[in-house]
Amino acid sequence: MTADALSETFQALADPTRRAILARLALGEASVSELGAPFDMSLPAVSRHLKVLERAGLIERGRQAQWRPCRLNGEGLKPVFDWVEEYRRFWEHSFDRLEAYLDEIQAKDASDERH
Amino acid sequence: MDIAAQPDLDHPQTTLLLTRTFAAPRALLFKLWTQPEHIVRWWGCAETGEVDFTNDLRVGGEFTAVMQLSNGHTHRISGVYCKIEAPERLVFTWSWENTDGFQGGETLVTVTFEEKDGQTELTLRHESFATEDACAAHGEGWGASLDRLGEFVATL
Repeated sequence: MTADALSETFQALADPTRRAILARLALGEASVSELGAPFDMSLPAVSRHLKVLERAGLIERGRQAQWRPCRLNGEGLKPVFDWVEEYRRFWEHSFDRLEAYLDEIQAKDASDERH
Repeated sequence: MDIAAQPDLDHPQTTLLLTRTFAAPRALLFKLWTQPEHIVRWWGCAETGEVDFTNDLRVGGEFTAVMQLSNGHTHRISGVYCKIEAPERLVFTWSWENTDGFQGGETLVTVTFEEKDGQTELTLRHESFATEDACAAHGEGWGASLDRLGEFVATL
């Protein structure tokens, strides 16, 4: 996934209504009106959120003209969760360096005390 | 060296939880986490070179870390302090962007320093997403909705 595509995914996730829609879809597919029911929101407004999610590759829409069920696209979500590994790399390396730096500081303090 | 990393079962795949014990008093560790002249000595991933770190250490204050990477790119990590309880706890938001204009989402980091037998056990929780009011919620994060998404992705 390109940086731009991932960026679009994060943008799509930045909205609490869209996250709630995704959470609902994690339970199974649903229609636009079902998805809109918990919110005080017009169907066109719900549709706009769905378009953002679809463009970001987070959901898929069925092709039936009347009832276009939405479902979660796990492949689109996975890269977002993979970022946890990036954080792990960052922090573990930082911890290694912090440990070495602490040793350095404490050795210096001890030697200062001796002088 | 004492290192432990395990999945956070309450937040599958969405939260990183790391614990490490450092042979130092926690007041010293807290200082190394909050003073820029110390932070630049250890902050970064394996590709990180020079780090320019500035912070405004108060609740609502911002920090920025501009990192020169070995591949010539520049990364910028920034955030806002949500909670500062010296020498026990630090909570801050964390987002990053690179010079290509890529912006990662806002995430939330909670660091706790616990004294144990003269050493300090540091626990770091990094949540994949922070809500707009993450600071106010102090790490409530996404709660149940995110857990469900994490479980869904885990089944793939």
